[in-house]
Amino acid sequence: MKCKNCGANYPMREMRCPYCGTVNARGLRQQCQLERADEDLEKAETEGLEKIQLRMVNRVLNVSLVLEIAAIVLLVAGVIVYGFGYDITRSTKRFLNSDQMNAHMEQLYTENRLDELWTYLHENDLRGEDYYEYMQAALIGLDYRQFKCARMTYLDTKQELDEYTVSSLLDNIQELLYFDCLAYPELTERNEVIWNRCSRDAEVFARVVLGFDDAQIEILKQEYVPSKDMDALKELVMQRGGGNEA
Amino acid sequence: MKHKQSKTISWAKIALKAAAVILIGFIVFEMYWGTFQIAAEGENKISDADGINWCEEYYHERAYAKLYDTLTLSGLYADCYDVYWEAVDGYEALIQYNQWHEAAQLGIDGAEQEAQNCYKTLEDLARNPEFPQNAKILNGFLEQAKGN
Repeated sequence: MKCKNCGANYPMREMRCPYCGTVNARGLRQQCQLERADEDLEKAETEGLEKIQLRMVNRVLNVSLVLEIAAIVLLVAGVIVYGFGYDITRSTKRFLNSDQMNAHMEQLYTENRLDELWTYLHENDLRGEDYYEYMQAALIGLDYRQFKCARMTYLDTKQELDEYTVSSLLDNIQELLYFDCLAYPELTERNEVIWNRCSRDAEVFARVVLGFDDAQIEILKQEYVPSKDMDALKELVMQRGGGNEA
Repeated sequence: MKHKQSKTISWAKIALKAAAVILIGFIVFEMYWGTFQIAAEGENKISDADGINWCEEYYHERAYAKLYDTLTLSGLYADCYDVYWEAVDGYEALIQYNQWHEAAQLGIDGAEQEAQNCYKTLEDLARNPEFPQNAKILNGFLEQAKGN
């Protein structure tokens, strides 16, 4: 292009004449346009990159959500299938091994291993009318076991008795002196023998070791012992045991 | 030709979604962890190693009431617990003997026979202990019974 001032030739992109320094309006405009185009390009690149990043993150989050929901559905389905399978396995096992299981229960029963009988019934989910006698015996066994444990604890801690030990002991004696089994209320002939034996042991302990008389034993033979009477018995045991209230 | 309009995604939406993913992820983790723990515990059964540890402690402390409680409450009837059962049975026989012996002295019917039965049980256990480490304990119980 030709300079308007000095007439020298120079390229159009120059913003000024390289010889006289006169401003070249076209060159200036062109330069501004170029700069603006560069800026626009840079902006577009940045925005585009951000959009791509957003889309990527969004996609990852969507996939995560789907996977999490699938994991929940899988777990619930697994638990349901396992539950059904477990029940079916148990029922099948009961059906196939009923003779063997009955023989085992009878053995535990006749050998008076009532704690083990309870564990066996519980583990194999054996309850109801079909197992009435065993279940009732196992429940008597549970009461007797608790009594035996409370008796041992009482004898071990006789010098430092606390209220809990005494309460627990008297409650356990009362449970053995008054038969109360809601689920299996009618004592069977064989279980009556077991019940009498356990009950007698508890009664003799109350008489001999705790020193209770007939009237006090009668209190414990009631279905519901009034708390006033129970407290009086506790007090008596605490005094005789030589301990202090906790 | 129609262009498919893309939904506008903002960082705020992403943040909200990320929070949901983290929350649900935490819930899923808790569900799986809980299920795993229940499965590992196997109906609340304790392992033999744990059971033996507890029993050993009470056995050496001669805390037979606690030992009996642990054995029965946790349903420890496997062969590896027989040694503890033998000691507890001996202690129970001694307690029963003392009780019935005292009852016999008070003239309670049938108590003498019961005391003799308990003594015999204790004697059998002390004379033929299944586990040598129980011999001293069971003989100690028998000596106590003889002393009464």
